[in-house]
Amino acid sequence: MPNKNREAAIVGVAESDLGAVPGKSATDLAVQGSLRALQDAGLRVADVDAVFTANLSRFSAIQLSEALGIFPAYVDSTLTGGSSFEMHLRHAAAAIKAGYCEVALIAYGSAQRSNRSRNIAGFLESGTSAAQYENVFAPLYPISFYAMVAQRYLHEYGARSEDLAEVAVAARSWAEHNPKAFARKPLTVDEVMAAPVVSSPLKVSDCCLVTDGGGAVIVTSRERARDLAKTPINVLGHGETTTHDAMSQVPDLLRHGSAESSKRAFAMAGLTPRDIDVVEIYDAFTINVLVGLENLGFCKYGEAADFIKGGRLRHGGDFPLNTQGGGLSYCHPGMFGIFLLIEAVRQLRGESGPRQVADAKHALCHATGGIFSAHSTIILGVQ
Amino acid sequence: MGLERPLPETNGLADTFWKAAGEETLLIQKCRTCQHHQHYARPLCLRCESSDLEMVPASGTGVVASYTVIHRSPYTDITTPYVLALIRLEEGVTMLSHIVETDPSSITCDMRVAVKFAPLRDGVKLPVFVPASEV
Repeated sequence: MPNKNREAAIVGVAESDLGAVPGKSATDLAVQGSLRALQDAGLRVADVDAVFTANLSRFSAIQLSEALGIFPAYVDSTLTGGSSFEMHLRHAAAAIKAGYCEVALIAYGSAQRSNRSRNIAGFLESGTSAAQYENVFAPLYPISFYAMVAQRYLHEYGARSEDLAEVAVAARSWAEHNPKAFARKPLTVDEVMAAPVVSSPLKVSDCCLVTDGGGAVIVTSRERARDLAKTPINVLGHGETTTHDAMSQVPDLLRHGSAESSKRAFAMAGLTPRDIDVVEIYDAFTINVLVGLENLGFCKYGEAADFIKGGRLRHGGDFPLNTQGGGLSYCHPGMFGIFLLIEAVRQLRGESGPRQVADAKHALCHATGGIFSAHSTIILGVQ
Repeated sequence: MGLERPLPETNGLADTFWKAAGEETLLIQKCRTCQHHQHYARPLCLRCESSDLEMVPASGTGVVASYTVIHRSPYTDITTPYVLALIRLEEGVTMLSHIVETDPSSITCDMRVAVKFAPLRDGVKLPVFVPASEV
């Protein structure tokens, strides 16, 4: 029996205030989430010796460490959009295993709603291939890329816009049972279909929310985790990759890096998709769930629209997915990845109340960053 | 916001591409070692890693890998709806562009298209695409 003492476990999770949170900066929200997650774990700021965060500012990890008064022994500001925090968890697990740190704080905050800082053209950064060849064509970023994936998906597999709409309806059905969710009014497929088109075939209701918010995850060794407040949630498998930055450079519109990242994660965990009880897929847009289910191996390519039929993804369905309401209905401060981990941990601890999935033993979180550019898959389990 | 579309940054290898586009030629990069084509131009061949590369005129014809009709413009100098598309040229490379002068409802994935050049401003011309039968 190999010694698993230095393998990683999640011991604390929390959101900051979510939704419309005027008067707080991104860092304020990251700090609030961090303090709540430490309290959840039964730890103090002084116990943290590794800091992982991204996109608070240019020097994110330095800024958060300063705000909390931490002089960390290990630092990582990897920024891969919404998948950053799953990558942070993987990197923290590696650092803990190597003995470089003992208690890692992964934190996020964003005030994009209150600051009105989101632009439909995206963040136009100088020195990129997009700045040289693509931004002049005025894509909406990121939505137009996801729209082109959706268009190809409908064309190649004969799926319909109503299949995309079902994903939004299912997310809302979970949000109805989550008091923290931003959008809780029941939603129908007809209502999604009647919403204005932003970038065809995607309509307003196919797109994630724009909210403020943040959160944090505390990770330590399994050895240390045994003495802490809550049931430790073990990190069983992880994988990551990136495939492209500019829109034109995607290797394949429908076969993504998520196939590779999940293959690595499943192999490490010694599990298959059939062993997973709760699935959290970053739903920046409805199409993400359909291509996600296929690339992660839950169904074959081209079969997701059939796979989700009969309301299987909805609250009470037999394939619990995005059980907090997802980026579509719960919250979306811009980089959703950390919220996948928070909800998966709560499900595995049995803390999800009216949204609790019975006997949840294994959860998979898959986060995407950019325009299906970066992928990180995490498999979690409870003993 | 009152913003116009950003002109392409033409530093490095992009300069050759945009200068040629200004003269209504679509250039892509070809590896002299393994004959692989790629877009955009890079210092290495992504297939064989050779650094012996040249810019060559593209066929200018291809198919629509995918497209989206955009109904909210971020800029003052482009009116909605407009059609953004990923075009896969005959040489196998993919580029982001527009499909113009075409009823958006008539566009489909895999439709054949051909390049033409649309003046923007400051001498910049954009390689854009129309259905192949209309060239």
